[in-house]
Amino acid sequence: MIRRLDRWRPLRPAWPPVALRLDLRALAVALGLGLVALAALVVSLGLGEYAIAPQDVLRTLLGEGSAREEFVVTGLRLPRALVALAAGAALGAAGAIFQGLVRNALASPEILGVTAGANVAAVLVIVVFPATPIALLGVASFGGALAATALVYLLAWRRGASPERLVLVGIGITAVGYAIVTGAIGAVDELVYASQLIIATTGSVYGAGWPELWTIGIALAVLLPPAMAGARHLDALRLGDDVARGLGVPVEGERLKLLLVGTGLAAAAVAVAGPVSFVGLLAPHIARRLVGGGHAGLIPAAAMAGAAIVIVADALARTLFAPVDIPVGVLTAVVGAPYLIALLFRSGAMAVR
Amino acid sequence: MSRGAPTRVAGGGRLSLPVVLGLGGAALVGALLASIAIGATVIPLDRALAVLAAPDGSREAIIVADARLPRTLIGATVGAALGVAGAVMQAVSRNPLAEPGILGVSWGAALGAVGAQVALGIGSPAAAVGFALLGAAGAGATVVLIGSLGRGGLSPARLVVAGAAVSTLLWSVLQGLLVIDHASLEASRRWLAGSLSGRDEASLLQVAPYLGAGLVLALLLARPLTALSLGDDVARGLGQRTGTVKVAAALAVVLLAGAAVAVAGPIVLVGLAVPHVARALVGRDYSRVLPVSGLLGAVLVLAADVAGRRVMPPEEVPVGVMAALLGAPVFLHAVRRGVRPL
Amino acid sequence: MKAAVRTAAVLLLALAALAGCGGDDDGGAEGEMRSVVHAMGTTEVSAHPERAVVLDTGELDSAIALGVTPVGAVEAIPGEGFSDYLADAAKEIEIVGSIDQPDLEAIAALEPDLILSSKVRHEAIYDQLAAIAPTVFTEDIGVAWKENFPLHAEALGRVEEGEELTTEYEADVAAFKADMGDRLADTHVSVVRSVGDEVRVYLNANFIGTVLKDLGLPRPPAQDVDDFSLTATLENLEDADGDVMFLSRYGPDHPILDRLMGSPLWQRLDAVKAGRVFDVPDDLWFLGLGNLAAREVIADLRTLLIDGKPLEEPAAAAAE
Repeated sequence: MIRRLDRWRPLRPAWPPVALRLDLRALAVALGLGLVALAALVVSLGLGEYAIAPQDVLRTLLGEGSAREEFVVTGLRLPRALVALAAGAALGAAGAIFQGLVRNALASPEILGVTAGANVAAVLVIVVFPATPIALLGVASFGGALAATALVYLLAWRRGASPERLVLVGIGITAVGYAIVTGAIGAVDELVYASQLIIATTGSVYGAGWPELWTIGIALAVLLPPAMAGARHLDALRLGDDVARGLGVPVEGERLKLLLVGTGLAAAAVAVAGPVSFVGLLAPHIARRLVGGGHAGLIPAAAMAGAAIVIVADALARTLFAPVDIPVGVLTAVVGAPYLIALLFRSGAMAVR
Repeated sequence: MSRGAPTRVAGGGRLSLPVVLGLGGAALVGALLASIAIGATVIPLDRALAVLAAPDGSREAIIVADARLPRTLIGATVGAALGVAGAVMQAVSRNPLAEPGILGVSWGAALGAVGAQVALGIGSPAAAVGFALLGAAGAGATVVLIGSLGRGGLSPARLVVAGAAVSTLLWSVLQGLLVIDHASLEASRRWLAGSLSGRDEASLLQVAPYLGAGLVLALLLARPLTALSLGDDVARGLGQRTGTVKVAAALAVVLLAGAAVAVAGPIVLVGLAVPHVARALVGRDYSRVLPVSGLLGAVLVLAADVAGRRVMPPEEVPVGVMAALLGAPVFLHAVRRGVRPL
Repeated sequence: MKAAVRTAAVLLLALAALAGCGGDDDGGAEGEMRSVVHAMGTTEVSAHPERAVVLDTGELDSAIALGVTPVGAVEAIPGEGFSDYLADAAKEIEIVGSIDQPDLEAIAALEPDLILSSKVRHEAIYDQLAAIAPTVFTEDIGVAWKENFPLHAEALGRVEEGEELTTEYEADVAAFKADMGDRLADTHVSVVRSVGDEVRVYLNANFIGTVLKDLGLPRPPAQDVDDFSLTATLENLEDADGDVMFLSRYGPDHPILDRLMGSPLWQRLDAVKAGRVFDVPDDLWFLGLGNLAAREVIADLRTLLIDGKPLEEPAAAAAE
């Protein structure tokens, strides 16, 4: 197998000879991160009001647990945990795509205005049309995320959408989004609604179940393949628009396509879990350190890292202040923001100029 | 690295200062009158002015004197404070996108005030002004630190990204606190939206010393800020102790933004938008930019507040939402022009 | 058909009660299930639920009114426990989180046989709740408390008690009306609640609005509106006026209310001039949302308007 791949190598002379080793490494890393996420999942499934040891969780998942364990693990904790995993994976993959697109390791859904759009749409629906069925809220967030991306893209367009303008316009849109969200939190009649709005707009998988899992699962299934297909264009775009053009990449077209894929992933995650901040930033970084910059390896690794981050953060969010379940987005923000700031000091490929 | 020629500093903008101050003053008078005359109760302007000048104890007189006047004064003061704070931040950081909201200072102040409420049970944000200032200082110091570390400091765009990260962090922690403590949520959620409604002269008086000190300090710094806005090298070449000026400027920003947030909640993008307009009008001499920014900040916040009263009556749209919407186009314009060091 | 089921349920209930007197042998009742039609569909509920969990204040009020002490309930305000007026009855009840985020695992751990809540509050977690125990949802809360009560009674297997309590409520209403006599028609009632950062005037579309309507107490025109509440400021302070004003405080600090009350315009309100502004307990008037709270509110109104005496505990805020 390896030898056969080796024979293919001379057909792609643009690639350095180490590429093969990197690819294998990327596969191993993705699998390793996936195992970490799975291990975290097992531990998380045991945590809570009714504590269950990891080996008993495994036994239960294999159908050997007591009725009580069975119910708590598979009935209550598993759907929520799987939504956390899947949302984390979607955010991680989206982050990897955005960072490649914007040629900037600082890009993430919350910086590009995607989550602000989702929040504003959800909040407006709740405040202006309170009778809207709850199932449509996810649709609204999804639409809001897409609309905000479109808005950011259009406003940043000036003979092309420069990466720096995308980031800065996204930040401006996000600032307005926060103003509208806090305005709505102040405007609703009842305290309980205000609290529920906060939970929804800060990011939480509280109460997530099988319907949410279907939503995010389908999004991953539909959007990950085009993301992987676009990986080599991302590699080219990372070298700069001119270089990419020289390599025959239709720059603006590919950028728009990938932007849509990334936004779709982020929007689906936000629709089921709210804006879990900075996962889309952290996950690609962890992945990049492990597998390097090639996007074919980076995107799956970032997805796995995102899954691991959100599952761990959610386990903490529901146990740290128990019985109060704090929004998981608070925890990821506390970790993610300092990391983002630390990144600003690392010079190199991620320069915003 | 082509910089604006220093002559522009002396030459100023397209209009002379007296003309700008005259027009700005007229706009401010208009905004003040609108804010006095427009509200849920219909009071004709002449009647409003008459009862303001000679209170006759009528319902109109009381509404004008006790509801609209304090609200108007607070709006004007907060707007002036935010405009000046934004101008100072833009001058020191040489960053056209710097302002209290974008760089996290306002959210630091909000977290300080709400934190005091949650932890110590301090009832109103204005009473917690000390904690708001502490929060603003914490967030401000973080951003300054971030901006000055590294080789030659951060580029303007990176500083804005850092500010966005700090803002998201502070906002998230704030929301986390409020989910845990519902009493504080109920007591602060309308203020947190940025609101002038129901604020009284007592809360203005609570924050007035800090606002006054901040304004005076900022105006005293006008000349050194002008030099600093041309770059540290220029400032040092003019014999300036840039470190001292920067610390004093940071103090002014903390006083202005912290106190403004304590009384009216976080109002973002005013501090960003106003200095841009001011520089377009009077050039880059901060002894002109600062007063004009104060004037225009007052106009912008009053206009946002009055508009918020009229957008969807009988509900009021909080001034924080309206101001952000009004300020956003300037932000976008500044981004599209390109974020070079000022 | 439904009536037949209901009758059967009542009979079973009576039997179960008899059996209960005789000993622990409740196997027969536990096995019996009946269908309850509610906002989320039809649910099979045990004929005589014994381990109910309630997820809002209205459901808690209903259950206690019906003589069922739930095994678990959520707090309206995290950390504050249950409303004062229920404190005695609610002593044994386990807290299972807050209204905005009920603790699903704590609920499951109680092994309930019935969960009561509403679509407006907990539609998002209905599936999880239904997996834990038969779950019955009303559509709305507060304003709909009278329609909700029979459903709560049906779900709890206490239809007869429910009907009795509704009759008692109606009797309280009738007695109040009779004792008010001619004064009823010209006692325009204003309801004002301070929540700290805002002072609200309560309109018709809420719990207290429905009780006042039942009692035939007229509302001032500005408050006789089918909406939840309006915000009181100096600008529209006269909207808060009435022949009598009931004033309630939620939370410890009330800067906006203090400011309104300090204004000369406050002194000009008819209710203030007449000395007819009464502090009322917030948990009863605004958080209770059920039959018990409604009847306690009528008792408060009787004390204040008919007996002309102050309430024993003038304001919940005084205790804060």
